[in-house]
Amino acid sequence: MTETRLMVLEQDGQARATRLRDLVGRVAALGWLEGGTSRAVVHVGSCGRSALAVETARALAAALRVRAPGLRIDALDAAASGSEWNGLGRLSIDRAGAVVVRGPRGVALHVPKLWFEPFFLITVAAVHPDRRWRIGGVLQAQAEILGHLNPGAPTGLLLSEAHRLGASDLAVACGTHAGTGDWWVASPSDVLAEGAVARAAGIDPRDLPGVRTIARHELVASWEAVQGASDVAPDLRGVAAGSFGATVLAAREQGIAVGRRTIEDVGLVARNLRKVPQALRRRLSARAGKRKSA
Amino acid sequence: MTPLRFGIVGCGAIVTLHQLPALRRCPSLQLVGLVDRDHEWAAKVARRFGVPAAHDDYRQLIGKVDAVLIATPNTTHAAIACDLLGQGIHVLCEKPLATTGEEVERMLAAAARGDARLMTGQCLRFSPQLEMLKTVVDAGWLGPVERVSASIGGPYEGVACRTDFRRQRALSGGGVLMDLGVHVLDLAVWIAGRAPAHVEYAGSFASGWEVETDAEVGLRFPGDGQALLQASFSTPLGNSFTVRGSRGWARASLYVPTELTVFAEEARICRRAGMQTLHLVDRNMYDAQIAHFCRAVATGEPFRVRDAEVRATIGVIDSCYGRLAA
Repeated sequence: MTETRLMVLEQDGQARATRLRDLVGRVAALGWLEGGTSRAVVHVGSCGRSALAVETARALAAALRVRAPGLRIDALDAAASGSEWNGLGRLSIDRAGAVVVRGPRGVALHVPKLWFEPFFLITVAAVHPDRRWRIGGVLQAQAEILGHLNPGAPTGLLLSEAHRLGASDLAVACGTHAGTGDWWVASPSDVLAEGAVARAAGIDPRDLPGVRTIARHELVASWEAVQGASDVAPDLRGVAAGSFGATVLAAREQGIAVGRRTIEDVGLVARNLRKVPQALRRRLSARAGKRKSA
Repeated sequence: MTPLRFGIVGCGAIVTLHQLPALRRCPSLQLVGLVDRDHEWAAKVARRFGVPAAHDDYRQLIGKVDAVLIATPNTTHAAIACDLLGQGIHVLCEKPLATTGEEVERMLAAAARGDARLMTGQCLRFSPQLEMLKTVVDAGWLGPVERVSASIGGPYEGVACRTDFRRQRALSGGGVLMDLGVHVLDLAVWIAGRAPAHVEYAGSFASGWEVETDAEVGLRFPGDGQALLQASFSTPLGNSFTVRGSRGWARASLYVPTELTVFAEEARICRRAGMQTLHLVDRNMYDAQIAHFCRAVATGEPFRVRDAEVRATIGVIDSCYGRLAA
């Protein structure tokens, strides 16, 4: 039996509340709400945030609460207004609650201290066109956390590190189609959820800039699940931004990163060059001292 | 806050290389004098660091200072500290606080009598990577501590020193365990959060030494925790401190203050990406230690190095040297 890794649901003319109940029921039946931890965090992506994303996140939080009454559930929703998450704890991300980790390429990044604790993470993202990533979805929502802690860091780095260090246990992408209404794509894999949305938007997932960024560092999941799901996925053609703009922005980011590294390297070289005369003087005076003593 | 009038007793390498520069940088104190048995040397150090007065007897500081740093050979700590504490002078004393548990008790009693405060200078507790290690353990990322292993030391020829007191039992009171081992011993007690219940010890002597040059200590803490600690004046050791808990481990180099490697098996961040290297902001541990001492004296907050921990640490040394059995 093949393990289900992706689930797609459309509104099909029913009430949103009804379909949200269906979504939660199916996700639970697939075992995707089994966290095995005493804490859960429900994260709503800020970019493109919609009422549907918030309602979806609240429905999933409510389901978690029913399944495990003792579970501590916190909402991470930077764009929320005061009373939207009544009844749940609210998490905020700031530098005071962060530590710096060094990635495999030696790049230091601030990450929330919370990431060193066990918790179940659900990320809900409202899918929207994004000039850099073509599609703004779950991967971008995950990267927002690091973006908040590391302003100015290259977005590609943030996206791949957010996936590597803090990928969601359940990723839900959602949106509202002008013709067919609400839709949801859910998966325990953030990359698969993103890939399914890309496929529905008529893009080969492997060509999606976010997936390509991740694929530079790891073998990404097999796309068979995405292929199958695309038959039932909503038609999202038009939701993605153009590939030319994304390529230009990626090149610009790359250029800025190379420029920064060059400036740093030149600074280091200059500092070391300044030490050369001193070092020579020390060497020469040491030699002169030796000759005298001889 | 009025700066503490501060004096220094003993002007060896630790003072001239680390403590005096840190004391000069500290805005919470004012250096008023320093003492060394070699008055000429004291005067030279005072001139170099801009300290107004140099003396050859610590009693000459009485009435002129609010607090002192004692950095004399180990066996002299207790007598000097008791005298000064009895006069109401706060004392920051270089490690080891004393060479026996009995001396520790005398010093603590003198502090209580003189209404003065006494802290041991365990500088490594103020090093960022070891502070973070303590935070990691206390936060429960690693689960209950099961095993601590640490090593410290290298060939003695590389140690910066002005006198050779470490070789002489009458001045040092013990060997490498007392001098370097006390660092990792103190850290083990601090991290474990309790005194060990059982101690094992092995030491060996190099020729020309009155005290041991290599030491290995095994500790068993109440519950399940164990520690294996090594110190050496003869062999280059790893100079690292590792804590293993039931759900992970963390390792710090004793001398690289900016890094701590952590693996916590339940941590989200380690689930996919494995062990993580925390990158910490560099900070001089002597600066942090003296700032903490001055703040604690001014505000009454507890010292980071607690009396119970000092008792436990010196108690282990007593056990190792067989004094308790005697």
